[in-house]
Amino acid sequence: MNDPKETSITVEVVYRGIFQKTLAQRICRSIVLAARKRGHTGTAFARYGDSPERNGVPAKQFAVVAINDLELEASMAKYEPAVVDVSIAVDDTLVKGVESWAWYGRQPIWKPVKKDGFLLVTSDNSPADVLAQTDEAERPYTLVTVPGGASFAGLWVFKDDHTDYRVLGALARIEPEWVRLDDVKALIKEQTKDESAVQSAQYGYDAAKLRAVKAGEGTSGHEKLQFTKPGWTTMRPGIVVDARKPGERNPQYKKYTARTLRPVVNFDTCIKCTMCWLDCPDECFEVTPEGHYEVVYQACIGCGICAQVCPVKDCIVMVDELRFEDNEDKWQFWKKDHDGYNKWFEAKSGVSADPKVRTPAARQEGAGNANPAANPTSASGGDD
Amino acid sequence: MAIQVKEREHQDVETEQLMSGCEAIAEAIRLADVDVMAAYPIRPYDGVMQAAAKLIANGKMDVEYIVADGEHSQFEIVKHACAVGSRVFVGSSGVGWFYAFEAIAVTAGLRLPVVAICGNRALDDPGAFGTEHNDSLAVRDLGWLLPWAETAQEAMDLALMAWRVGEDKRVSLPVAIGLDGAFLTHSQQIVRIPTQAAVNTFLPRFDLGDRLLHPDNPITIAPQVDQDWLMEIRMQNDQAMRKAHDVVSEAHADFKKLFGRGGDSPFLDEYMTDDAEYVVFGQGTLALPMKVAIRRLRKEGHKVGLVRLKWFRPFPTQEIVKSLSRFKAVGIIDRDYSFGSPHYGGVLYNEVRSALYSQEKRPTIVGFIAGLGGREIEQPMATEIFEKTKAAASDIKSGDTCHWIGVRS
Amino acid sequence: MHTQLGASGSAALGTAAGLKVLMRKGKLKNEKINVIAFCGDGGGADMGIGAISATLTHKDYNCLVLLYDNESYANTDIQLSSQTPYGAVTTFSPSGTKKRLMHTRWKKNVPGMLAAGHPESRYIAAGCAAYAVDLMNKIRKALELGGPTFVHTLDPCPKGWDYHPQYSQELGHLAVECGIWPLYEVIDRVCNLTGPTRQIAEGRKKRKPVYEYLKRQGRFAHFAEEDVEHFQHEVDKMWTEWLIPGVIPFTIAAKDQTILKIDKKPLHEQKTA
Repeated sequence: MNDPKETSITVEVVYRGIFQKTLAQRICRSIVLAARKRGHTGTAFARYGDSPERNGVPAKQFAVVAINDLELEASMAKYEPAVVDVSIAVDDTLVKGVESWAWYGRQPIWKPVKKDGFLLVTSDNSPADVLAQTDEAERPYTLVTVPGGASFAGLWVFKDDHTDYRVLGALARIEPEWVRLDDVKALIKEQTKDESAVQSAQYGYDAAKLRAVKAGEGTSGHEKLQFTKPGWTTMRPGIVVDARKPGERNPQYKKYTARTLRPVVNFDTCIKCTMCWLDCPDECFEVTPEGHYEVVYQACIGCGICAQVCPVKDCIVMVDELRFEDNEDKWQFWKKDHDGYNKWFEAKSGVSADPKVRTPAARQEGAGNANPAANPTSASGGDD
Repeated sequence: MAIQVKEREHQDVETEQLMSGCEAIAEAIRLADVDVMAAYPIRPYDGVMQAAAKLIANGKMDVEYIVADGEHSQFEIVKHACAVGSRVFVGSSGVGWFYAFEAIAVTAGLRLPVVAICGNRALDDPGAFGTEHNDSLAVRDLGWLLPWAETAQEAMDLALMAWRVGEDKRVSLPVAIGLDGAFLTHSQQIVRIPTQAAVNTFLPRFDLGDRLLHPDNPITIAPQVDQDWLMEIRMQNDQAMRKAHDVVSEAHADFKKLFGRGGDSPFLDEYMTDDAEYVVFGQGTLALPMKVAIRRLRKEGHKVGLVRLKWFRPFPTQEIVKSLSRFKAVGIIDRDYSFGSPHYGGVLYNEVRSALYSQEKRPTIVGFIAGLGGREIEQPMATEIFEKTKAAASDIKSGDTCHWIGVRS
Repeated sequence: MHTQLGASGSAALGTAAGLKVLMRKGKLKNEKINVIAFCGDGGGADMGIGAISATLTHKDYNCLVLLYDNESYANTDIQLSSQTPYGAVTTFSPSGTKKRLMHTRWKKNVPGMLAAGHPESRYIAAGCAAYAVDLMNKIRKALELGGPTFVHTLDPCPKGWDYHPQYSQELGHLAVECGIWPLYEVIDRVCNLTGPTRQIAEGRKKRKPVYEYLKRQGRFAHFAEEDVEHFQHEVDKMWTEWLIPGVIPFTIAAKDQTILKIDKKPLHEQKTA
């Protein structure tokens, strides 16, 4: 048995609020329970400030494991860990940066990861593709990908695709001193009596891909959002904050880090029926001078209602967020360069921009379970 | 702001009326041109609303008068009316005050200068109507200014002060005036009623400035915050409460100049203390029986006096230190209780002792719980209070006691 | 301005009263300002129903209370309210090994109760966000007619109902099409059914089985067949026994059918019997 060199380890799970709450909880609890099997102690908890969770808005849960109770206390002196050994993102689009509903500015996904720590991402994309969307590293770390899409396993009914077991297996690969594969397997066996679940842990262990990331690697293309918190002398009294006049958009309202999929619009086939504009719960559509509806990607959370209510087939297509670099509105692009835009639309969505051309269903494999059609609690996946 | 008027300019045209404490407050509502008030019945405070309703019915004032469906609604209604720029009035008593507690808490947090009356009444159970100060005192930590009146005249004067101080931009906090049930709310006294012109000089128009909730001023009030924000917001309220001390002094000076009333200090009313060795300290109407006792005891050669507290929040710490450190012993009379508190004392007792803790020269401070549930403080009790205060003077530790006065065993 | 849970009726009333008096006294520019107070099903149907009821009797104030009903206290972690449907799982009503259903109360009929109890309110309606135009029209009518008004909207909630947000509109449609959530408005004491509810009532559209609605949501995943049957039975009763489906839950006794032929002449025109 290799004893750990450190006295404790801190792991965070970054996840999509509500959709993956139960999943994150299961992973964190299992880390502690697996470590317990070799006599270590630990704690698992959710960041209180994330509650109440909002659909898709990035949230965090933590597992801290230590060699004894005193070391556990020492590692918990700061309630919300500022530094973690491993950050686990259970949706690869989270690498584009996260912003919880209560704090300000998009944060790089690796922000709390210590030097030479690990960023573990569930993804069907290659490590290179994931890294290409991750903010430029400030310090070296290891990117680990575990096969699997974003499992929106549901809240009341947990119908996950073994994401938690694969993640635990992969964790055993990178932190064997703390989480041993045998302990993980024994724990899963106890909990599930399901050999296939045990095999999923082994698969996570075997299939995890490690990619050393040097400082400076990654993208510098994401929007930098700096926010300085004012002091009491500069805040307006009476808990008053500036608001907008009717019809004005709030430039502070940036919700794009909540997105796993984004709607992409085929302006050629749009019949200007207003349905998307009417039904969007976040008022993300702007009417163009010609009566089209363009998505304001700064505000869109990617809920998919627009694609669902649009009466025209493949006019609004939900596409894996990892395929996009910016949050610019796209109608100007289409207006200036019709053919260029349509090529872009086809490349991103996998759907022909020409409605006369029959195309297979929209390419959404990259987003895994986040594809609502695969959501077991929805009609198509279902408990019919 | 200092007021530019000749002293007592309007005094000769003041009128005089025989009125209860409640009616005096209703008169202040009229003079202040209150915009919105909300009522709900509970005695003893509701005498104010009955008197105000008559003034409205008789066309004496133009107030949007809403009879609410409960105290929570009552306080929420005026809170929201205040946010759109209305001068407001509200009030309650005892457990009714507690039914509104949520709204009371947020009103201070929002820095909305709601002016309220708390007609002090015992808390249920058992159901009881008599005066006790625990209802008002329950909000002592929340950011409400808490003055206490002794007479109907003072009730009216403090109400006018309340809008002036609460609405001052440096303060912008709600005010709850303590009025002892029965002794003050329902006893009629001669009250001098200032002229409208004088009140208009004293009390400027309410102006929320850029905090006004109006479509032309797009703001959001009270969004949800987390730990990153709350301490700064609390700090702002703390600063407002600190500033309230000087704003009260300023308003008191102007009031005195204009109306010739209010005593020497805005915060303390001292009675026969110049050469006193032993004094009692308390607030509200208990001052009356104690003054009578003082006059009687002084004839017997006892150097006794009274210090009455007029503003419990902001607590006038420096004034209290300066005043009380002159005496050999101070008896604090609490018309309230704080079960399980240090030395099982009342609220005032422990606050005053805390204020004097670091003083080199400090008197023995001994506690008395008296007059709960509206029980009268009769002369033998007053004598007992002074005797026990005097007896405690020899040893500062004998103040670590709180005596219940006039309670059957 | 954020207000306290249960205070939306008072917030609407206080704001409207403040604006009214300030305009009357010339302290504020005289113009029409719409006052809308939002509440949820917890704050409106449970805690704040008294304040909303009081507000709807203050006919001199122009304000709209909009009850946004997502059938649970979703902001506090999804606890059941009086608007949570029969049998649904919430954190306060988990399905367990001993008790399959922890929540066995039928949904409180809020707009019907308010319409019945507040004859001077000129507009009370039940809408659904999935019928956006219908809802927009209802809000507009409420504000145009003035006085204290009330609109109750059913708003599918991916979080507490446990479905992918993409299906929000569809679930709203199903709630109406299954006859669970009838759409209507009461204008000056005249009740109009709207949208598909009207079509169902006129026999132009058949109600869908409630199972179509229930099966789409994780909060009903623990339902046994008998639970679905009970749910269907209750909805059927609403359509077969209520005086007005979704609005008035009682009917007229057989011996008192004359109520329907009541002499509606004003008192001075009535002949003595």
